[in-house]
Parts: sequence; C-alpha cells; structure tokens
Amino acid sequence: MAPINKKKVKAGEGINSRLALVMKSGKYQLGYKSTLKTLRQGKSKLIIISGNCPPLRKSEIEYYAMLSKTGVHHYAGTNVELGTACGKYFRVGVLSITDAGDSDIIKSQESA
Amino acid sequence: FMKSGKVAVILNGRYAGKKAVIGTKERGYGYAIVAGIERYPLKITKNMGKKRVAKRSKVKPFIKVINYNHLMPTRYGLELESLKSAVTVDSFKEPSQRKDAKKAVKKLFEERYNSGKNKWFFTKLRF
Repeated sequence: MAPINKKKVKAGEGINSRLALVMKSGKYQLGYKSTLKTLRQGKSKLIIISGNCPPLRKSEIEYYAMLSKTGVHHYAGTNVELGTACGKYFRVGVLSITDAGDSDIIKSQESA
Repeated sequence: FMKSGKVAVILNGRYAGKKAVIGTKERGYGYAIVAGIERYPLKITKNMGKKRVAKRSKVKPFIKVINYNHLMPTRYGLELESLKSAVTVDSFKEPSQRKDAKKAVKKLFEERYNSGKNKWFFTKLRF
C-alpha cells in the first residue's frame, strides 16, 4: 500500500481542538436552558449537541436552530466527553457558541 | 427569531396546549405579549345549516404576557397588523382595557377563520 501521506486528523480531534480555542478566546453558553436563551435572541452562532442527548431534547434544539437558522453539530461522544472537551469537570449536554474568538470552528462547520 | 407574527404553542399554565400569535415584545426581557385562542371553533361539515355553522365558528381569544420559556415557537406565522395595535403594553394595565383588547382580537380571529386562511392556527392541538 502506498504510504499514507499525512496523518489524517480524526473528525473528533478537529472539533476538540477547536472547542478548546473557543473556550479560551470566545464566548459560549453551556447547558440546555442557556442555549435556548441564546437561540431565542439570535446570539448563537453554532450549537453542539452531545451524542447521548435525549432525542426529544435533541429534536427540540434542532427545531429552534432551524427557525433561527443556526448551525447544529452533533458531537460524536457523550456529554461526559463534551464536558472534558470544554475543559470542565461536569457533563455538558448542549452548548452554544456565541462568539468564536480566534477559532475557525464555525467556518469549518459551515463547509462540512 | 421570536418575532411578532409568529405562531407559538403555549406550554405551561392554564392555556397549555393552545396556540397563540406573538404580538410585540416591547419588553427588553424575555416576555412576549401573545394573543391566543382559548376556545377553538368547532368542526363544521358541509351539511350543517347556516345557524349551526355560525354558532360553531365562534372563537374565544385570550391575551397574555408570557415568558419565552413557556412558549414553543413554530414555523407558522399569522400576520396581522391590526393585532399589534389592538394589543399593547397598556392594554394589560386595566381590566376594562383587557376586555376591549380581547374583543378586538376576537373580531380579528373570527375574520381570519372565516376567510379560510391560517387553517393550522385554528385547529386544536390534540394531545
């Protein structure tokens, strides 16, 4: 087999590193209630939903995002992992990015 | 996107399960003034006489200031310019003003219902 040219960064890794940048430089809201608030106000740029989020809540958030034309990303992983990716010691089921800061997370999501 | 003219379903309280139109959100915080249907018009069929149809097409409205958390927005809209003028922040100050606002809303809703537009708004949500 031809040698692999580049070590392909796993999709999960890409999101994780971008999330870490957002935590440092941007603005975000963690948690179901606050993300709904940002969605209602239109302040949200991107929504990330964990993998084990209950399907009713997941579809509710997707509906709100559809109404407000906000992008949704389904994180491949549980809320425990999302919390760790955010650098927090608690679980994060849903999070909303209001200001990306230095990260290119939003642009990369829009193209994906 | 919780704009005036959008239809929402009320989630909590006495009016839970009823549909309402968002009026203005003049308040800077998370409350919306809504005008909704308390009692939906009953089903009418082809072979019902005029009097019966008239009786069953009555709409009972309500107006309320509702917290956004207790509303579920939908993709439906109900544009009514006159609604905005009929229901304002001051109409909640006095009970008599409330009654006037409700009467105006009743007329608007019945007109809309009879004109056959916005059918979804006037159907009861079954749950």
